[in-house]
Amino acid sequence: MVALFGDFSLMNAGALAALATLAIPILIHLFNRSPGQRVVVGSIKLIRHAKSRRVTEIRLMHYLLLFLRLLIFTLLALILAGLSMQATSNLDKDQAYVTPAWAELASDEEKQSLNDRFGAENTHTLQAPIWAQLIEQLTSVKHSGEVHVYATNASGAFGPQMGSAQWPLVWHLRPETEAAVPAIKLAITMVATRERQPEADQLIKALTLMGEHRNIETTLRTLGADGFDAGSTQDTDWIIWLGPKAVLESQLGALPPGTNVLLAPKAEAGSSSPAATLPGYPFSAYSPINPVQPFLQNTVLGGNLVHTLNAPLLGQNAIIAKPDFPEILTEILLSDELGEARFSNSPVLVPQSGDNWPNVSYPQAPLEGWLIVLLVIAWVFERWLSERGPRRNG
Amino acid sequence: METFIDPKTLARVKDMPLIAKTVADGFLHGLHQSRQRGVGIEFSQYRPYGDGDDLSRIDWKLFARSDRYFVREAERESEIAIWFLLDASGSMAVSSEPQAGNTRWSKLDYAAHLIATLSYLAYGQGDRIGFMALSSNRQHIVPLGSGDQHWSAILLELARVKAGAYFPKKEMIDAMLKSLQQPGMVVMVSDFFEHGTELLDLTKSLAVGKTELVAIQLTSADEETFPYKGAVRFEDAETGEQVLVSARNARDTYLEAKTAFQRNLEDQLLRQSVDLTTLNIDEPLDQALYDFLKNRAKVTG
Repeated sequence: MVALFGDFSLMNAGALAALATLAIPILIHLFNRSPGQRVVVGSIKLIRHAKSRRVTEIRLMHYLLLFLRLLIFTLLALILAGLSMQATSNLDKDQAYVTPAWAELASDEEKQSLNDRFGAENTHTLQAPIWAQLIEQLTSVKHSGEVHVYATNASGAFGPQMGSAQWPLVWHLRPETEAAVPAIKLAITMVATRERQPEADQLIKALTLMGEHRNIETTLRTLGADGFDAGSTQDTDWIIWLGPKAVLESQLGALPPGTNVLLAPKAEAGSSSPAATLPGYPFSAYSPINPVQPFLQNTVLGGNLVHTLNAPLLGQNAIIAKPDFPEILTEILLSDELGEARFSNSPVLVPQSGDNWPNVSYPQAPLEGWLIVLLVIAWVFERWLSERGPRRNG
Repeated sequence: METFIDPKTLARVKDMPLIAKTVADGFLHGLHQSRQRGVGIEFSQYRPYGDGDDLSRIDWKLFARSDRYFVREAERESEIAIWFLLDASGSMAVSSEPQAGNTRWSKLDYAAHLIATLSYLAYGQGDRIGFMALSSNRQHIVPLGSGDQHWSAILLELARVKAGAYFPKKEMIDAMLKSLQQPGMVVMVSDFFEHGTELLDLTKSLAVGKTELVAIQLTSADEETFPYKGAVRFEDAETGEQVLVSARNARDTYLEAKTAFQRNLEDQLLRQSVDLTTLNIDEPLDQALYDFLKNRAKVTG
């Protein structure tokens, strides 16, 4: 309904006029209060015991009729408002939407070229919350030309939530913020036995996905569990241990202090799991909203913090099967020191030019069609119901 | 006032007799068989001359043959008294819904035509006729009489009858009923919708002795078929009580109640030995009358 309610407010004179039409069915209802054609009969006795239940039925029918008529007029008003809005606010030229962050950073030349290309009337500065405003604009106003978005590449600038955009936007991203906020560096040593290599592969895939999205520079080393040497783990932030627990315990004392260990219990033989994915690619919610506590148990062993996953990684209901597993994993790895600020500076990933966008227009799904269908249904129903009214068999 | 007589109806029934089942005891010549023996055309029997017999009634030819005095007796055809009793209560003002813009006869209209035609037949065959229309507001009475002028008086009174409120209780009209309770025939036209038992009380008190009561019940097409749809506010013609029903759903209940009512009415009247004829006011009067008269002729044999 966003598409139709976008500019549809009580301040709109057309909306007020449409509201006035709602009085018509209400008046009909009130004038129709004493329902039914009057028929004088010789003796009421024969009809009397057919009475009580029927009256409520008739009342119900009248309220239903009232509701249907109100619905019809409301739908009509909405459809007309939608049509008139389309007629009056059809943006047929290319449009540019500029975020305040971009406007602040842009040089005069860039602003000039923007103005030369689109003109002042086709350039719109977005206000917070930026992503929501952009989506509303795209769903409520018909755009016939291309839509260009000028922004910095920090996804945090778009507001707390940045969902996926369903429309082919032309992105113009400034890389400045990336330089201002250095990438997070994370050194991970993955220790896995041969049989648990599939789990390691999934973890690596998830880490790679999140690295791309969150501006994390991951240094990854993979070691076999058999030849594990604690001395080789200098400069490692995390050890992800996918091996026998006894071997780890024997090596714990030798680990450099402050090294975090993530321990995943062994899955039952033959367990498999869907591959790790990230939904809504290229954009996804970046707020650290996934509580990690249910998945984790922290213990201190030999001066090191050992995080033990409560459940195996593989298996039908394992966390790796969750669509937001990469985010959960990232949060586990970055938890304490990195808050929202760090995430919001992660880069906006724009679709590659080779991506095939569906051939859609703005707004993508005009509601008028459905509203008209609904209107016709309501109207037919109303006609049918009122034809059942006080008529005779000819 | 002649408007109550429809030429078509009259043409159909004018040669039919209106026959009472009970044997009449009247004196004047008429169409009804008389139990009294006496002067007449149809020979019945001879009986010996007795003191007081008129000498002119002696059959002299038989005297010549038998040398005895015989008096020739004939069956006398005689007239009877026929009362037309009309229920003029409010419910009789009901008519079916107008069809194609034409208003239809109310039960009272139909009854007026019916009584006009029947009384015409009765007066034509020499019976004495009387008319009574009863409602709680007003009573119209034309006493028994015969002849052209008397029939006109009945027509005049018929034209004046308007539907009143209720049918009067028996106590209210007891005095008037005296004149009905005499040998003869009472044709009672009503819809037989009653609030208490006023109508059946009346029939009970009339159907005694040598009075034959002919009950004619009037119904209408709408009452028979209940053709309403949707929300209908039914209003009682007499009490004004209103009932709002969804007609389509009420139809079955109504028809059931209607059948029960009819069955009960027939039972009650049968118990009183009253002959009930039901006429639909939305069907042609001539056919209904023809059937009615033919039926009566058949019953009488």
